[in-house]
Amino acid sequence: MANVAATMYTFFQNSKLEGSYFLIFAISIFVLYSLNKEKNRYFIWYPIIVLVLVLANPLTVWALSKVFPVLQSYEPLTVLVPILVYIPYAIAELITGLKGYKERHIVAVVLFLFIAICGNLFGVFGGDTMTEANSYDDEKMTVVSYAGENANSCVLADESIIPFISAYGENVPLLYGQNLWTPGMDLGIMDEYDDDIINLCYMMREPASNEAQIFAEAYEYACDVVIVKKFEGASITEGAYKIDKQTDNYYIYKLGK
Amino acid sequence: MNIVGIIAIFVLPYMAGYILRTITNRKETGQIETYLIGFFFVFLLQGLVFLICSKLGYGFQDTCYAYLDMSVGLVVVFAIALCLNIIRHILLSKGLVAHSALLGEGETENTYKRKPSKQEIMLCITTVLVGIAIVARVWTLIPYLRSDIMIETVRTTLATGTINEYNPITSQPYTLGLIPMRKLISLPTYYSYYCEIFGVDEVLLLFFVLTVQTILCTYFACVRVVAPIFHNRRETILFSIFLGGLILSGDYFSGAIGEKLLWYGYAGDAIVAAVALPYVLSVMIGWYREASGIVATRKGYKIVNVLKILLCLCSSVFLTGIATGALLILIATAIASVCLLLRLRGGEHNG
Repeated sequence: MANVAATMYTFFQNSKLEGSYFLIFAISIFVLYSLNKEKNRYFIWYPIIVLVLVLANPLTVWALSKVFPVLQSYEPLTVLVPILVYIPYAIAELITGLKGYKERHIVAVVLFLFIAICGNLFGVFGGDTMTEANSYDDEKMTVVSYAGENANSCVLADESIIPFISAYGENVPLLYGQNLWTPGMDLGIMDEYDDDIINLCYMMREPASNEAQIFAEAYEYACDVVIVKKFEGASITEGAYKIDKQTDNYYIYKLGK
Repeated sequence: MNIVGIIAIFVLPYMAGYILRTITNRKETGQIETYLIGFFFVFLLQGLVFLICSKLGYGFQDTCYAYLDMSVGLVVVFAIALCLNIIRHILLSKGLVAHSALLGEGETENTYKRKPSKQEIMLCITTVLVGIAIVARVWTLIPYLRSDIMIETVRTTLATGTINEYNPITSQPYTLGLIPMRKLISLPTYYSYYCEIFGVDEVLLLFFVLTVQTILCTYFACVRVVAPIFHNRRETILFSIFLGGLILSGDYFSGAIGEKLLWYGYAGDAIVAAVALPYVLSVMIGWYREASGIVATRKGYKIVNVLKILLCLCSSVFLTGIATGALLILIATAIASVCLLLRLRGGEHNG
């Protein structure tokens, strides 16, 4: 029971349900209930039933863990609640329920500014999600371009650059892809990779302590390019590999002839 | 040619919806619902074409030509349906045929004579302004290139000229093949068709054209959920403005539907979450209102509502597979049915 509760909390955290966006949604339900609970009854009951029967239900976690073992989030299920409908609906009901002409306009303007501008400009609810991590910047373009020009057999790369090599590299073969660590509801993803590749992925996350093993495995798998995040104490030459290029955050090793 | 492809993406759903509306003779279906029904129907049709081509062993090029035949077929049937409706309208307006012989379900003699009210015009203007704001916002996001399985799959399909033979993530040939559920997902092939046949750039197609279409359909679907409940158009206008504001400033955090729409609106799960689910809820609410007598009951409304939900269900299978698509719609329908049945049994009547 404690295990299921802990898993449920992990799911809850990973779904980012504790954020202010969800809080505004909860306030919207309260507003709809207060203004006209008879008319809005089916709008109120629907998300409550979803939250209780689906999201806050230990059976959901148990079923998901059996069928989709790599899934660690409610995220695919949170879309069952149409938050995008509730918040403007509650606002429209609140404003039209006000008697004064001036009152309605002031409340409308304040709420519009709060939602439309504060959320974006001041990061009140979390702000811009196009972060450095998921943006295809100049440095990543340089690395991807190098991989495209120099990779013949396959590339072993750091997790942060793999998605961009997949998307924007011109058919650059990779030893493994982001499906190895990205949780999802696909079945059988882990079966595509054997244990050695899975271990290699974990070692790549700490290249400083696994440098020799990483390059030994890369040689075994006939990778001709290895891209690692920069770390202290990196050697210029490692086994059959030598640094051919470096950027602000990456060392790019190439297999010697 | 790429302009033709881009126009086809926006226009084909309306054509498909118009054809279905004409066939079923449901003249009460508004333009927005016609577009939404056509939107799902196009996805269903392309999925069926994809399945048939897979069974016949067609390669990527032949599948693209099959999609082209599908698109041309839709245009031709739409043209025929449009001509028939124009002829019907002429016959009706000139009094050459008795009205009862030609009126469709939900249509009256004054259906096309009624002028739009001032509030309806304001609602149209609001929708156009929100649409322009959406297009402008999404246009500014194009330079922020992002990685995603969809763009990887489209680019791999175009580069290799094959379907489901190369792993788009590793660019290596599949050794084990795909599980059956993943073989159903035809969306990347359908998107690749527009790039291959019409020459549309894949970044423009995914990050702009399809994202704008999904966001507009989300807007339509969400307005459909609540518009029948509002007492006047002014409330709908208010709702539309705030909905538009919420979508456009939707970068709240990773996981919020607004973020998914703005950055990954072309993805199947975004379409299911943001368009299909609200539309299914709107159908359920409309069903309840007819069953409880709040609005006039139309002939065959139960069958029509079931067909609409089935359309969303079946198209979602080709959009995301069974797990994140059809299963979600089934859960939403089941829970909405429970809520509405409880309310029906309570015997309450609210206008």
